[in-house]
Amino acid sequence: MSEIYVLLSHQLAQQKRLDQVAQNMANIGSSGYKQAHLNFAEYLGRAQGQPIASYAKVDSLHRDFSPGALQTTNNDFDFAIKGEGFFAIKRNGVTMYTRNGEFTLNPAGQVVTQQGDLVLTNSGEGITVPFDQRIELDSDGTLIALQGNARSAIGRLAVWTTDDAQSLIPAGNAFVATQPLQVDPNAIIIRGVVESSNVNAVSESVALTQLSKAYELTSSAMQRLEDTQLRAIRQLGQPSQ
Amino acid sequence: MMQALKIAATGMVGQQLNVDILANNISNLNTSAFKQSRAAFRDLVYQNRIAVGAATSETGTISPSGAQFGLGTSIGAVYKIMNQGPMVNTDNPFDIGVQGRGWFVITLPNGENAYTRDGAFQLDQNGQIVTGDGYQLQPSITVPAGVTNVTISDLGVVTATINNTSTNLGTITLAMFTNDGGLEALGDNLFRETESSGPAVTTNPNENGAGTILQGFLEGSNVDPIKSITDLITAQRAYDLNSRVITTSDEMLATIAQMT
Repeated sequence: MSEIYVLLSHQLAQQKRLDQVAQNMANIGSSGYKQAHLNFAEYLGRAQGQPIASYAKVDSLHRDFSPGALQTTNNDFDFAIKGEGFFAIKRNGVTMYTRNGEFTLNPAGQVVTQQGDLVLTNSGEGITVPFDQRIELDSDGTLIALQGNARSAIGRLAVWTTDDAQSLIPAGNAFVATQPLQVDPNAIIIRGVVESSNVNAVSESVALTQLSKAYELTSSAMQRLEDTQLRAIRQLGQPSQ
Repeated sequence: MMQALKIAATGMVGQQLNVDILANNISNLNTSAFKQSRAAFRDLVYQNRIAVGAATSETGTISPSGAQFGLGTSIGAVYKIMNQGPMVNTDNPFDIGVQGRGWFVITLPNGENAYTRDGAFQLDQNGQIVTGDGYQLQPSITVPAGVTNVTISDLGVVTATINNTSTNLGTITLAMFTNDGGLEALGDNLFRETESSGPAVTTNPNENGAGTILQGFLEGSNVDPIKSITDLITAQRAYDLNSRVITTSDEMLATIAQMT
């Protein structure tokens, strides 16, 4: 009687898939958010002396790191990365990586994220903007403070890349790295622009419809299975005349 | 139970707040020196279903990416975009704009200082320069009765012609903050210093990074109407999509409920 468990495993898998679609949809407005999808795998199991059956189970989560649309805000401290890579930030002493360049200044004049995490340069330092100066972004990511006609470099925003982005662990608006990332010296940073989430509303909507239908189908299969069993019990269990 | 319902709810709540913020921006399209706000969304904490590096076999192979599930979204911050609004010529001698950074210092009735970029000033019964609400500009400048031709230079020096002689009445100073975005909005175009803005540093116009004074000009709102409307459409669609997740979750739950 493993059929019912096979169907159940499918239903549980669909529920988890729905949770992930909901997560993508909820974050459609989160700058720098990267949508993710679940991979399912066949799992061969033998339950309670039954023949081997093929179940479905969550295998891994694949995050789509393709770039989101760039949105102009004209805000002095909004930055976006053109191409691959992440900004490095420091949260509670841990270096994390984010695509969300909605930065601001803290009271000490340091460049921080909207959550107050320090934004790091290519050498892992913070960037302090003198309060009486305006900033400009050089083509190589260096922030320049302007005082009259005097220009002074105050730190270079670094773009960190990795060959293995799937190993990054999401931590809310940023990722924790399990392996060191490298600075990409040729990366291009743009100012006054924010990267939107890369959630694809069309494919997620289609996924919702599919999920609902698949769930219904599995349920009706379960129902039919139960009917068959019921019929079998009635007919075979009929006392002989 | 299904997480999807709660996750979609965080999305809907977030978009609702976003619409509130956009509505406030749009309604202040014509407010002098209004600074538009922007909601910064972020993804909430994650829970591990399969940890990265979890063993996948007894021979030591590990899961390279694991499976972390998010729990929705929240508004991480609402920040003000401090760009300069367009300067509008009014020809009124007591309409003063700041071209560049810096804030006028105003004394509230309770004695505290507040800061504004709305330079629509007037004279009160004593000839002092005050805001539309009668709050005094700091440092206080008194224009004696019977003067003609009050001029304010780009460096903030107020001069008046009294009996055909030019008299210096004082200098308008500006306050500067490390983080303008950290100021707390009080309404009436006034802002208050906070811990995140840093302390106010008073300076003369065109010094220490402060802007210059423009007499006869008011700073307009920096709300871009077209962008606000498109943002509103996006927020509404995002709300729709999250409600679709709720509908689908509901359908799936109904399917279970119908099983006997």
